[in-house]
Amino acid sequence: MRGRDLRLLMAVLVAVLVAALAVTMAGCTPAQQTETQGEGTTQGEPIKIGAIVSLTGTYAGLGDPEKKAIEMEVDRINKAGGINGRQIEVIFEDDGTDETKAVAAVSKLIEQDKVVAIIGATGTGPTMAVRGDVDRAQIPQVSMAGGTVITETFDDLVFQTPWSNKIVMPYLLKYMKDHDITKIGVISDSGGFGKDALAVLQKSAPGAGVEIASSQTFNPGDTDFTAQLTKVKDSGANALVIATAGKEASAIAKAAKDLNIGMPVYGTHGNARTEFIEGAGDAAEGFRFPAGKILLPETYGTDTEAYKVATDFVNRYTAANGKAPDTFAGHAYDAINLIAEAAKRAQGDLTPAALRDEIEKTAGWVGIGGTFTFSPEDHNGLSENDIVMYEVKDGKWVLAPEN
Amino acid sequence: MEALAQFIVAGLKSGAIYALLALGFTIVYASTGAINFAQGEFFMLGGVIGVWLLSLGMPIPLAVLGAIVLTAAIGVVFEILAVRPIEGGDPLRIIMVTIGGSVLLRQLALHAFGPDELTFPAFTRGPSIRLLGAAIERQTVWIWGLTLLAVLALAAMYRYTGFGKAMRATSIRSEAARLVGIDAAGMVTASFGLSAALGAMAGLVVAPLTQTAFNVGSAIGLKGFAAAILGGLGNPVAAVGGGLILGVLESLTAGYIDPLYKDAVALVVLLLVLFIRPQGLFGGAAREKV
Amino acid sequence: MSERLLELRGVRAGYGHVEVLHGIDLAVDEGEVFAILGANGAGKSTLLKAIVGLVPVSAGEVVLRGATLRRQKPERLVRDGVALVPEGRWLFGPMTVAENLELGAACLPTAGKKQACQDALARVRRLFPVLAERERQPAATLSGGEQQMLAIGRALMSRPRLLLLDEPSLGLAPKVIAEIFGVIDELRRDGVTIVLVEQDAMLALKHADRGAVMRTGEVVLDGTSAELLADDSVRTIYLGSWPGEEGESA
Repeated sequence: MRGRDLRLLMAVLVAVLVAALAVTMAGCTPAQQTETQGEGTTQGEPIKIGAIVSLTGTYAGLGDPEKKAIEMEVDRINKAGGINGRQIEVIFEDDGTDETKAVAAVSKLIEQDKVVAIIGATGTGPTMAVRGDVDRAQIPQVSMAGGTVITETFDDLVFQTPWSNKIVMPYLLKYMKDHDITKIGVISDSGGFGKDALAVLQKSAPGAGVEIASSQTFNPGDTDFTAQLTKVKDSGANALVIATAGKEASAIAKAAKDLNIGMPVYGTHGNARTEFIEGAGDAAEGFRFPAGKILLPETYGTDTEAYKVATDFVNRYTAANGKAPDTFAGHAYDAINLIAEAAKRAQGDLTPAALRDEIEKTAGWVGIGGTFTFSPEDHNGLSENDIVMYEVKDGKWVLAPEN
Repeated sequence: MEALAQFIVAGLKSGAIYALLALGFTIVYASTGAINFAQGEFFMLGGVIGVWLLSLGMPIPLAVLGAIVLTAAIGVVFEILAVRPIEGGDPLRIIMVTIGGSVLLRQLALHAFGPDELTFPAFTRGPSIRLLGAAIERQTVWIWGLTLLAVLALAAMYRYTGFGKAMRATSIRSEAARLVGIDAAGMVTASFGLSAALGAMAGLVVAPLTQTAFNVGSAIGLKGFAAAILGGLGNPVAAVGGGLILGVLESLTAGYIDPLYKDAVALVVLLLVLFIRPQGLFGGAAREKV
Repeated sequence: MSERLLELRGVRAGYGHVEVLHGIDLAVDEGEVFAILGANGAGKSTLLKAIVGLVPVSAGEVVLRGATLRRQKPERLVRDGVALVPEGRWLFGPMTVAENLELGAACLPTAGKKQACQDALARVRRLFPVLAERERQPAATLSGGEQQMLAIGRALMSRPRLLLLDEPSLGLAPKVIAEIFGVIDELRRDGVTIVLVEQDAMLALKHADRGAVMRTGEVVLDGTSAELLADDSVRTIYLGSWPGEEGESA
């Protein structure tokens, strides 16, 4: 009896461990086969758009506002008469911040729902994981994830709305250099965002005159960062850069203060969330991070169109959800509206190909992330002009001093 | 030297949390012979319920206590609804039910408390304490203190109270316990309540350092399980030892090898223990040892 | 005539779909020692387990002091004064002798528990002086005879009116067996009713007032000890069985 129990236990344990390892090590998942071509939708019927968001898993806190923003915008567009007389219908799929699930979701959206475009995913990993299916179906994809790789590994069909690390990291490095920071320690997550940010930092640092004295990584879900912080502290760095969009950022900032690492702490646009400030508490004070102007719309100048667009969005979102939108809601706003605007301009039958071409022709469109101008070479469409440096002060973000 | 002290402090901090979770696994294993894979969700529930009680205006001590009591109640209800109906208490079926239960609890928490991370303030504010060149956060002192308190209280309960003895008797031989008049089914329920309370306490005491959210349970649950196996299932002292060793091992791996390998090293050590000493580092005839 | 304490009417019971008892009728009077005899696999242990509810009763009635028991559970019956000392003793091995005895009193009502517990403990210490010497020792470290004494002592802690003893002599030395049966006699004098399952029919009938013989799940014979001893079938079949033979393993 006891022997049987133990053997049973072993079997279960090994299964659990293998599963756990598989989750930790999950990098690439083979794309599923699909033969279906995206079909054009005919006049009168609703325009079907698929949205893959993370409503559970690590990025649940990002996917939730994204879904809310998309729903709000679809509702607004439909109430105003839709697109050239046709309503928009968005079909949401939760990828659980998991690449395998994202692939399953995209197959369903393409084959079953026959969508003309995909919004998503929330994270860089799932965004990249669905590329095979998107290519096969030849439908446009607008990602809300920030990884540089999304538009750097260029694909005709794939666009992205957040500021990519390729814009943010050089800006961050330049800002630090202007503040006499020449040696930095980086703590990045081992997931898509952290890897991407680190790669861009490593590439851009020498040109910016900044040395990466220590580069440390952690796994999503880690709760203790003593080892990484100790090493950064001992490396002689002048500043710490936390490169993650995960909730671990606040624990790292807090531990940095408790361990008294004695250097300013910088983050990225991935930390532009009130939850980060709440979580880090006192340790967030003085924390600086680059992000879009949406956090403080008045930075656009109150007489600009950008300001109007931003305040309108903030007001409507706040009224609908009882909470101000974060930047992720803004990325979702941009994604749905970029598609909607392109669909409006498209002539004749709204095929995925026509829609893609129109999205690429977007020029000078003012969204939440900034002013988008796509080209056949640039599917991110934003520039350094769209971001500014923030600093946390008294539990709120304010503009950081310019120099 | 300073770094080593710091790594050990960090390891003992994580280790204490693992120990509390491992104790929960041990207690349920002793009474049912099964692994409660919902244990990590009790950790999660403790934190999120604590934050919710704070938002209702409760002071910290009351919110902590309330969250522990509520989570224990959830553990009790979970056992009565999901585990007790299992005919003959087949461990394999209990395991499957707890896996299902963990998904359910996580989804319920997502709907009740939302997807965002939640913040629980530090129990006491103030700068870190310095010891042998290592900085120790005040919250870490709370973690150690409360873990120690819980372990001592548990040991005293098992040793000196009629209830504790009845629980031990049930885990040794539940039919014999019934013959002397012990409500063995009630003891299984109590074991779920108790392990839920311990899980909740772990979740609460670490929440000020890491924040909490509906999805923090499964990863930490796995660590607690690993700690319980490492020490030897069914033995509370071994569970605590397993937790502390696992924590320190992880921290040293992160410090001297690479933080990315720390989970892997923990798993490798665990597998080695399983193959070389399946009864755990400190385990004897495990189940009887309670 | 003394009062009827326990009565079984057409009791059927078994494990899962396997029926072991095929309609048992028995009556045990207050204050007597009742022996249940039979070969391996006759269903003797199952009968005792069915009485307390460790084995579910599928048909028939178990009547205790005139009241029919429904879905009886051992933890409730022990409160009603029915204690089973199972074959194999089922001690709490890692716990001390004192803890085993203390747990034996777990069922006593809270009111007056302390006094009742002390009285019961005094009786156990008197009946089994060796247990008093071993109180701090884990039960698993006791000798076989001492373990049997502890098992009986633990059951006595609940101050039972009806004691069900399953193979108390199994595997023990003659001297120890004599001591244990001496205690059975003493308990009978104290007014405890005892149902005794025993392989050694001769020994059992020497200490019993009445008894029954079981074969493959049925009672084939019952009567006073004298009647049973006089019966040829009992003499030939059972008195020849070796006292050291293994008990049934249902």
